[in-house]
Amino acid sequence: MKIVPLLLLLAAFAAQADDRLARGKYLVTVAGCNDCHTPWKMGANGPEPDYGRMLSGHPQDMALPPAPKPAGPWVVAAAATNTAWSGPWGVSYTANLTPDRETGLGKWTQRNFTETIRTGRHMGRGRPILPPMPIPMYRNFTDADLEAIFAYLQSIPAIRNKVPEPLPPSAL
Amino acid sequence: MRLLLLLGLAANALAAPPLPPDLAATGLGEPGTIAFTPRYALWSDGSAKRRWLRLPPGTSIDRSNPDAWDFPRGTKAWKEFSRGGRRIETRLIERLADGSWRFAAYQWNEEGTRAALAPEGGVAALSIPARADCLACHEGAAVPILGYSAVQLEAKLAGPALGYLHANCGHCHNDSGPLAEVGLALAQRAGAPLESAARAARTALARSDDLLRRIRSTSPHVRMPPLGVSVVDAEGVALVEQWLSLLRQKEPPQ
Repeated sequence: MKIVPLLLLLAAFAAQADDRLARGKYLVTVAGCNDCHTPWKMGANGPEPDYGRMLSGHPQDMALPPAPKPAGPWVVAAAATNTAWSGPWGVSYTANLTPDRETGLGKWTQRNFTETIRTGRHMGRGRPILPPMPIPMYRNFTDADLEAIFAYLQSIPAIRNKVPEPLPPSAL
Repeated sequence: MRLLLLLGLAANALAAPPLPPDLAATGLGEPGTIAFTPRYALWSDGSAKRRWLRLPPGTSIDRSNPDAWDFPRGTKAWKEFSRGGRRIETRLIERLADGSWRFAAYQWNEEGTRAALAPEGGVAALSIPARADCLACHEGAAVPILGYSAVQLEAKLAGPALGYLHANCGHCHNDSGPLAEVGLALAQRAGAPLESAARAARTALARSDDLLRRIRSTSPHVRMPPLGVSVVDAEGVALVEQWLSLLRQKEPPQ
Protein backbone atom coordinates (compact mmCIF):
# COMPACT_ATOMS: atom_id res chain seq x y z
CA MET A 1 0.00 0.00 0.00
CA LYS A 2 2.77 2.40 0.96
CA ILE A 3 4.58 1.71 -2.25
CA VAL A 4 1.85 3.28 -4.37
CA PRO A 5 2.34 6.90 -3.21
CA LEU A 6 6.10 6.49 -3.58
CA LEU A 7 5.68 5.28 -7.16
CA LEU A 8 3.33 8.14 -7.88
CA LEU A 9 5.87 10.56 -6.48
CA LEU A 10 8.64 9.04 -8.62
CA ALA A 11 6.41 9.18 -11.68
CA ALA A 12 5.68 12.83 -10.96
CA PHE A 13 9.41 13.57 -10.69
CA ALA A 14 10.10 11.71 -13.92
CA ALA A 15 7.34 13.62 -15.70
CA GLN A 16 8.76 16.87 -14.39
CA ALA A 17 12.25 15.94 -15.61
CA ASP A 18 10.80 15.04 -19.04
CA ASP A 19 9.02 18.38 -19.16
CA ARG A 20 12.25 20.14 -18.33
CA LEU A 21 14.21 18.34 -21.06
CA ALA A 22 11.46 19.10 -23.58
CA ARG A 23 11.45 22.73 -22.53
CA GLY A 24 15.25 22.83 -22.81
CA LYS A 25 15.17 21.31 -26.28
CA TYR A 26 12.53 23.81 -27.33
CA LEU A 27 14.56 26.76 -26.01
CA VAL A 28 17.80 25.53 -27.59
CA THR A 29 15.94 25.19 -30.89
CA VAL A 30 14.18 28.54 -31.02
CA ALA A 31 17.04 30.51 -29.43
CA GLY A 32 19.10 29.48 -32.46
CA CYS A 33 21.91 27.65 -30.64
CA ASN A 34 22.36 25.36 -33.65
CA ASP A 35 22.84 28.36 -35.92
CA CYS A 36 26.41 28.71 -34.70
CA HIS A 37 27.24 25.83 -32.35
CA THR A 38 26.38 23.12 -34.90
CA PRO A 39 28.69 23.24 -37.93
CA TRP A 40 26.83 23.86 -41.18
CA LYS A 41 27.35 21.81 -44.32
CA MET A 42 26.12 22.05 -47.88
CA GLY A 43 23.07 19.80 -48.30
CA ALA A 44 20.90 18.95 -51.28
CA ASN A 45 18.84 22.06 -50.68
CA GLY A 46 21.61 24.41 -49.64
CA PRO A 47 23.38 25.04 -46.33
CA GLU A 48 22.03 23.19 -43.28
CA PRO A 49 23.21 22.27 -39.79
CA ASP A 50 25.19 19.03 -39.71
CA TYR A 51 23.25 17.28 -36.94
CA GLY A 52 25.79 14.47 -36.89
CA ARG A 53 27.95 17.04 -35.11
CA MET A 54 25.13 18.67 -33.20
CA LEU A 55 26.22 21.52 -30.91
CA SER A 56 29.85 20.37 -30.91
CA GLY A 57 31.17 23.81 -31.95
CA HIS A 58 33.86 24.77 -34.41
CA PRO A 59 35.46 21.59 -35.81
CA GLN A 60 38.96 21.18 -34.35
CA ASP A 61 40.44 19.81 -37.57
CA MET A 62 39.11 22.51 -39.86
CA ALA A 63 41.98 24.55 -41.26
CA LEU A 64 41.15 28.13 -42.10
CA PRO A 65 43.15 30.79 -43.94
CA PRO A 66 43.76 34.01 -41.96
CA ALA A 67 40.57 35.98 -41.31
CA PRO A 68 39.99 39.17 -43.30
CA LYS A 69 40.74 42.46 -41.56
CA PRO A 70 37.51 44.30 -40.73
CA ALA A 71 37.18 47.34 -42.97
CA GLY A 72 34.56 50.02 -43.40
CA PRO A 73 30.96 49.32 -42.60
CA TRP A 74 31.50 45.57 -43.30
CA VAL A 75 33.08 44.49 -40.05
CA VAL A 76 32.14 40.85 -39.54
CA ALA A 77 33.02 37.73 -41.54
CA ALA A 78 31.91 34.15 -40.90
CA ALA A 79 33.22 30.81 -42.11
CA ALA A 80 30.87 28.65 -44.18
CA THR A 81 30.34 26.40 -41.15
CA ASN A 82 29.02 29.41 -39.20
CA THR A 83 31.35 28.32 -36.40
CA ALA A 84 34.24 30.79 -36.87
CA TRP A 85 33.70 34.52 -36.80
CA SER A 86 36.04 37.43 -37.25
CA GLY A 87 35.45 41.05 -36.34
CA PRO A 88 36.92 43.89 -34.30
CA TRP A 89 37.23 41.50 -31.30
CA GLY A 90 39.54 39.12 -33.19
CA VAL A 91 38.43 35.63 -34.19
CA SER A 92 35.94 33.63 -32.14
CA TYR A 93 35.12 29.97 -32.50
CA THR A 94 31.83 28.58 -31.24
CA ALA A 95 32.07 26.37 -28.19
CA ASN A 96 31.40 22.66 -27.85
CA LEU A 97 28.15 22.50 -25.86
CA THR A 98 27.94 18.71 -25.74
CA PRO A 99 28.61 16.91 -22.44
CA ASP A 100 32.08 15.68 -23.39
CA ARG A 101 34.11 15.94 -20.17
CA GLU A 102 37.35 17.13 -21.69
CA THR A 103 36.26 19.32 -24.60
CA GLY A 104 32.63 20.19 -23.88
CA LEU A 105 30.46 21.11 -20.91
CA GLY A 106 30.75 17.69 -19.21
CA LYS A 107 32.46 19.07 -16.10
CA TRP A 108 30.34 22.18 -15.88
CA THR A 109 27.85 22.70 -13.09
CA GLN A 110 24.51 24.44 -13.43
CA ARG A 111 26.09 27.36 -11.59
CA ASN A 112 28.95 27.57 -14.12
CA PHE A 113 26.44 27.61 -16.98
CA THR A 114 24.03 30.11 -15.44
CA GLU A 115 26.85 32.46 -14.43
CA THR A 116 28.37 32.26 -17.92
CA ILE A 117 25.15 33.47 -19.51
CA ARG A 118 24.50 36.07 -16.80
CA THR A 119 27.99 37.58 -16.71
CA GLY A 120 29.18 37.01 -20.27
CA ARG A 121 32.35 35.45 -18.89
CA HIS A 122 33.57 31.90 -19.41
CA MET A 123 32.29 29.90 -16.41
CA GLY A 124 31.18 33.21 -14.92
CA ARG A 125 34.74 34.20 -14.05
CA GLY A 126 37.12 33.78 -17.00
CA ARG A 127 37.60 35.46 -20.35
CA PRO A 128 34.73 37.38 -21.95
CA ILE A 129 32.35 35.42 -24.18
CA LEU A 130 32.84 37.00 -27.60
CA PRO A 131 30.47 38.06 -30.38
CA PRO A 132 28.35 36.91 -32.06
CA MET A 133 27.11 35.13 -28.92
CA PRO A 134 24.06 37.21 -27.98
CA ILE A 135 24.85 37.47 -24.25
CA PRO A 136 23.05 40.83 -23.84
CA MET A 137 19.83 39.09 -24.92
CA TYR A 138 20.39 35.68 -23.37
CA ARG A 139 21.23 37.08 -19.96
CA ASN A 140 17.50 37.79 -19.69
CA PHE A 141 16.63 34.09 -19.62
CA THR A 142 14.99 33.11 -16.33
CA ASP A 143 16.82 30.76 -13.97
CA ALA A 144 14.27 28.06 -14.81
CA ASP A 145 14.95 28.48 -18.55
CA LEU A 146 18.71 28.25 -18.01
CA GLU A 147 18.19 25.12 -15.92
CA ALA A 148 16.10 23.56 -18.68
CA ILE A 149 18.64 24.48 -21.35
CA PHE A 150 21.54 23.10 -19.33
CA ALA A 151 19.65 19.89 -18.51
CA TYR A 152 18.97 19.36 -22.21
CA LEU A 153 22.56 20.13 -23.23
CA GLN A 154 23.80 17.59 -20.69
CA SER A 155 21.46 14.97 -22.21
CA ILE A 156 22.62 15.12 -25.84
CA PRO A 157 25.36 12.86 -27.27
CA ALA A 158 28.86 13.85 -26.13
CA ILE A 159 31.17 14.68 -29.03
CA ARG A 160 34.90 15.00 -28.52
CA ASN A 161 35.95 18.18 -30.30
CA LYS A 162 38.52 20.58 -28.89
CA VAL A 163 37.59 24.01 -30.17
CA PRO A 164 40.58 26.35 -30.73
CA GLU A 165 41.13 29.36 -28.49
CA PRO A 166 39.91 32.72 -29.77
CA LEU A 167 42.45 35.01 -31.43
CA PRO A 168 43.06 38.59 -30.31
CA PRO A 169 42.37 41.58 -32.60
CA SER A 170 46.11 41.84 -33.23
CA ALA A 171 45.97 38.49 -35.06
CA LEU A 172 43.88 40.01 -37.87
CA MET B 1 -1.57 40.77 9.37
CA ARG B 2 0.40 42.03 12.34
CA LEU B 3 2.98 39.30 11.76
CA LEU B 4 3.31 40.31 8.12
CA LEU B 5 3.76 43.91 9.16
CA LEU B 6 6.47 42.93 11.63
CA LEU B 7 8.20 40.80 9.02
CA GLY B 8 8.03 43.69 6.60
CA LEU B 9 9.56 46.03 9.16
CA ALA B 10 12.32 43.52 9.93
CA ALA B 11 13.09 43.14 6.22
CA ASN B 12 13.23 46.91 5.91
CA ALA B 13 15.62 47.16 8.82
CA LEU B 14 17.88 44.61 7.08
CA ALA B 15 17.67 46.28 3.68
CA ALA B 16 20.96 47.96 2.89
CA PRO B 17 21.02 51.74 2.60
CA PRO B 18 22.08 52.88 -0.87
CA LEU B 19 25.79 53.24 -1.53
CA PRO B 20 26.98 56.73 -0.56
CA PRO B 21 27.67 58.87 -3.64
CA ASP B 22 30.96 59.99 -2.11
CA LEU B 23 33.85 57.87 -0.82
CA ALA B 24 34.24 60.25 2.13
CA ALA B 25 30.85 59.08 3.41
CA THR B 26 31.72 55.37 3.41
CA GLY B 27 33.53 55.47 6.74
CA LEU B 28 37.07 55.24 5.43
CA GLY B 29 39.39 56.81 8.02
CA GLU B 30 36.88 56.74 10.86
CA PRO B 31 38.24 55.54 14.22
CA GLY B 32 38.99 51.84 14.03
CA THR B 33 40.15 51.92 10.40
CA ILE B 34 43.39 49.98 10.08
CA ALA B 35 45.78 49.92 7.14
CA PHE B 36 47.11 46.51 6.12
CA THR B 37 49.34 44.95 3.49
CA PRO B 38 48.92 41.35 2.38
CA ARG B 39 52.12 39.35 2.12
CA TYR B 40 51.35 38.27 -1.45
CA ALA B 41 49.97 40.96 -3.72
CA LEU B 42 47.68 40.67 -6.71
CA TRP B 43 49.40 42.09 -9.80
CA SER B 44 47.35 45.00 -11.18
CA ASP B 45 49.44 46.25 -14.11
CA GLY B 46 51.88 47.83 -11.69
CA SER B 47 49.33 50.04 -9.90
CA ALA B 48 50.36 51.16 -6.40
CA LYS B 49 47.78 49.99 -3.89
CA ARG B 50 46.82 50.85 -0.31
CA ARG B 51 44.32 48.88 1.74
CA TRP B 52 42.23 49.44 4.84
CA LEU B 53 39.80 47.45 6.96
CA ARG B 54 37.21 48.60 9.46
CA LEU B 55 35.10 46.42 11.74
CA PRO B 56 32.06 47.86 13.52
CA PRO B 57 33.04 49.05 17.03
CA GLY B 58 33.04 46.26 19.59
CA THR B 59 33.10 43.43 17.02
CA SER B 60 35.83 41.03 15.99
CA ILE B 61 36.58 38.50 13.28
CA ASP B 62 35.72 34.87 14.07
CA ARG B 63 38.98 33.15 13.11
CA SER B 64 37.99 29.62 14.10
CA ASN B 65 38.27 28.45 10.49
CA PRO B 66 41.72 29.64 9.38
CA ASP B 67 40.70 29.40 5.73
CA ALA B 68 37.42 31.26 6.00
CA TRP B 69 37.57 34.07 8.50
CA ASP B 70 34.05 35.15 9.38
CA PHE B 71 33.90 38.93 9.26
CA PRO B 72 31.19 40.65 11.35
CA ARG B 73 28.31 42.29 9.57
CA GLY B 74 29.15 45.89 8.87
CA THR B 75 32.79 45.10 8.00
CA LYS B 76 34.21 47.32 5.30
CA ALA B 77 37.43 46.96 3.32
CA TRP B 78 38.89 49.47 0.89
CA LYS B 79 41.62 49.27 -1.74
CA GLU B 80 43.02 52.37 -3.41
CA PHE B 81 44.66 52.18 -6.83
CA SER B 82 47.19 54.79 -8.03
CA ARG B 83 49.07 55.03 -11.28
CA GLY B 84 51.81 57.50 -12.09
CA GLY B 85 51.45 59.01 -8.63
CA ARG B 86 47.76 59.77 -9.21
CA ARG B 87 44.88 58.19 -7.34
CA ILE B 88 42.54 56.53 -9.84
CA GLU B 89 39.94 54.64 -7.82
CA THR B 90 39.14 53.25 -4.40
CA ARG B 91 37.16 50.04 -4.21
CA LEU B 92 34.86 49.09 -1.35
CA ILE B 93 33.69 45.70 -0.10
CA GLU B 94 31.02 45.77 2.58
CA ARG B 95 29.32 43.01 4.53
CA LEU B 96 25.66 43.90 4.93
CA ALA B 97 23.29 43.24 7.82
CA ASP B 98 21.84 40.17 6.10
CA GLY B 99 25.31 38.60 5.78
CA SER B 100 25.64 39.24 2.03
CA TRP B 101 28.41 41.35 0.51
CA ARG B 102 28.34 44.30 -1.81
CA PHE B 103 31.01 45.82 -3.97
CA ALA B 104 31.56 49.31 -5.36
CA ALA B 105 34.25 51.49 -6.90
CA TYR B 106 34.81 55.22 -6.34
CA GLN B 107 36.53 57.22 -9.04
CA TRP B 108 38.92 60.01 -8.00
CA ASN B 109 38.71 63.39 -9.72
CA GLU B 110 41.76 64.77 -11.57
CA GLU B 111 42.84 66.82 -8.55
CA GLY B 112 42.64 63.80 -6.27
CA THR B 113 40.40 65.70 -3.86
CA ARG B 114 37.18 63.74 -4.14
CA ALA B 115 36.10 60.27 -5.20
CA ALA B 116 32.58 59.73 -6.49
CA LEU B 117 30.69 56.44 -6.89
CA ALA B 118 31.64 55.03 -10.29
CA PRO B 119 28.86 53.88 -12.63
CA GLU B 120 27.62 50.32 -12.13
CA GLY B 121 29.08 49.35 -15.52
CA GLY B 122 32.57 50.57 -14.55
CA VAL B 123 34.85 52.93 -16.49
CA ALA B 124 36.66 50.89 -19.11
CA ALA B 125 39.12 53.65 -20.05
CA LEU B 126 40.48 53.67 -16.47
CA SER B 127 40.14 49.91 -15.90
CA ILE B 128 37.57 50.58 -13.17
CA PRO B 129 35.56 47.35 -12.98
CA ALA B 130 31.83 46.94 -13.37
CA ARG B 131 30.17 45.88 -10.13
CA ALA B 132 29.30 42.52 -11.70
CA ASP B 133 33.00 42.03 -12.48
CA CYS B 134 33.85 42.33 -8.78
CA LEU B 135 31.98 39.08 -8.22
CA ALA B 136 34.06 37.21 -10.82
CA CYS B 137 37.06 37.21 -8.46
CA HIS B 138 35.62 37.94 -5.04
CA GLU B 139 32.86 35.33 -5.11
CA GLY B 140 35.13 32.52 -6.27
CA ALA B 141 36.80 32.23 -2.86
CA ALA B 142 35.49 31.13 0.52
CA VAL B 143 35.42 34.75 1.79
CA PRO B 144 35.17 37.77 -0.54
CA ILE B 145 37.83 39.75 1.36
CA LEU B 146 40.91 38.23 -0.28
CA GLY B 147 43.84 40.19 1.14
CA TYR B 148 42.98 39.96 4.85
CA SER B 149 43.26 36.28 5.68
CA ALA B 150 45.43 33.85 7.60
CA VAL B 151 47.39 32.92 4.46
CA GLN B 152 47.98 36.57 3.64
CA LEU B 153 48.87 37.79 7.14
CA GLU B 154 50.02 34.89 9.31
CA ALA B 155 50.85 31.68 7.46
CA LYS B 156 54.35 30.68 6.45
CA LEU B 157 54.20 29.33 2.92
CA ALA B 158 56.99 27.23 1.46
CA GLY B 159 58.23 29.79 -1.04
CA PRO B 160 57.04 33.00 -2.67
CA ALA B 161 55.76 31.27 -5.84
CA LEU B 162 53.04 29.53 -3.83
CA GLY B 163 52.02 32.88 -2.39
CA TYR B 164 52.06 34.45 -5.84
CA LEU B 165 49.79 31.76 -7.28
CA HIS B 166 47.53 31.97 -4.23
CA ALA B 167 47.10 35.73 -4.57
CA ASN B 168 46.80 35.87 -8.36
CA CYS B 169 45.00 32.62 -9.22
CA GLY B 170 43.71 30.97 -6.03
CA HIS B 171 40.61 33.11 -5.56
CA CYS B 172 39.08 31.25 -8.53
CA HIS B 173 41.35 28.22 -8.89
CA ASN B 174 40.69 26.48 -5.59
CA ASP B 175 39.15 23.24 -4.38
CA SER B 176 36.00 24.62 -2.85
CA GLY B 177 34.62 27.31 -5.17
CA PRO B 178 32.57 27.20 -8.36
CA LEU B 179 35.63 26.31 -10.49
CA ALA B 180 36.64 23.30 -8.38
CA GLU B 181 35.87 20.97 -11.33
CA VAL B 182 38.51 22.72 -13.43
CA GLY B 183 40.91 20.89 -11.12
CA LEU B 184 43.58 23.57 -10.83
CA ALA B 185 43.95 23.97 -7.05
CA LEU B 186 46.35 26.87 -6.59
CA ALA B 187 44.92 28.35 -3.38
CA GLN B 188 46.92 27.83 -0.21
CA ARG B 189 45.31 26.83 3.08
CA ALA B 190 46.52 28.14 6.40
CA GLY B 191 44.77 25.19 8.02
CA ALA B 192 46.59 22.60 5.89
CA PRO B 193 49.63 24.35 4.38
CA LEU B 194 51.65 21.26 3.51
CA GLU B 195 48.71 19.59 1.84
CA SER B 196 47.73 22.66 -0.18
CA ALA B 197 51.35 23.29 -1.21
CA ALA B 198 51.73 19.72 -2.45
CA ARG B 199 48.42 19.89 -4.28
CA ALA B 200 49.35 23.18 -5.98
CA ALA B 201 52.72 21.75 -7.00
CA ARG B 202 51.07 18.66 -8.46
CA THR B 203 48.42 20.47 -10.46
CA ALA B 204 50.76 23.25 -11.59
CA LEU B 205 53.33 20.72 -12.80
CA ALA B 206 50.75 18.65 -14.62
CA ARG B 207 49.48 21.73 -16.44
CA SER B 208 52.60 23.86 -16.50
CA ASP B 209 52.54 24.54 -20.26
CA ASP B 210 49.04 25.94 -20.12
CA LEU B 211 49.67 27.83 -16.89
CA LEU B 212 52.81 29.55 -18.23
CA ARG B 213 51.25 30.26 -21.61
CA ARG B 214 48.36 32.01 -19.93
CA ILE B 215 50.30 34.12 -17.44
CA ARG B 216 52.74 35.13 -20.22
CA SER B 217 50.03 35.98 -22.77
CA THR B 218 48.94 39.48 -23.68
CA SER B 219 45.89 38.23 -25.60
CA PRO B 220 42.77 39.36 -23.73
CA HIS B 221 41.12 36.08 -24.76
CA VAL B 222 43.84 33.84 -23.36
CA ARG B 223 45.67 35.55 -20.52
CA MET B 224 45.15 34.86 -16.85
CA PRO B 225 43.97 36.39 -14.63
CA PRO B 226 41.23 37.45 -17.02
CA LEU B 227 40.38 40.69 -15.23
CA GLY B 228 42.33 43.79 -14.28
CA VAL B 229 45.51 42.75 -16.06
CA SER B 230 46.77 43.74 -19.49
CA VAL B 231 50.51 44.02 -18.77
CA VAL B 232 52.47 40.83 -18.13
CA ASP B 233 53.96 40.68 -14.62
CA ALA B 234 57.54 39.85 -15.62
CA GLU B 235 58.71 39.32 -12.04
CA GLY B 236 55.76 37.10 -11.20
CA VAL B 237 56.22 35.03 -14.35
CA ALA B 238 59.93 34.58 -13.57
CA LEU B 239 59.06 33.45 -10.04
CA VAL B 240 56.63 30.82 -11.30
CA GLU B 241 59.01 29.67 -14.06
CA GLN B 242 61.80 29.20 -11.55
CA TRP B 243 59.56 27.31 -9.14
CA LEU B 244 58.26 25.01 -11.88
CA SER B 245 61.76 24.22 -13.12
CA LEU B 246 62.84 23.36 -9.56
CA LEU B 247 59.80 21.11 -9.20
CA ARG B 248 60.62 19.40 -12.48
CA GLN B 249 64.15 18.67 -11.29
CA LYS B 250 62.78 17.16 -8.10
CA GLU B 251 60.12 15.11 -9.81
CA PRO B 252 61.23 14.20 -13.31
CA PRO B 253 58.27 13.27 -15.51
CA GLN B 254 57.55 9.54 -15.60
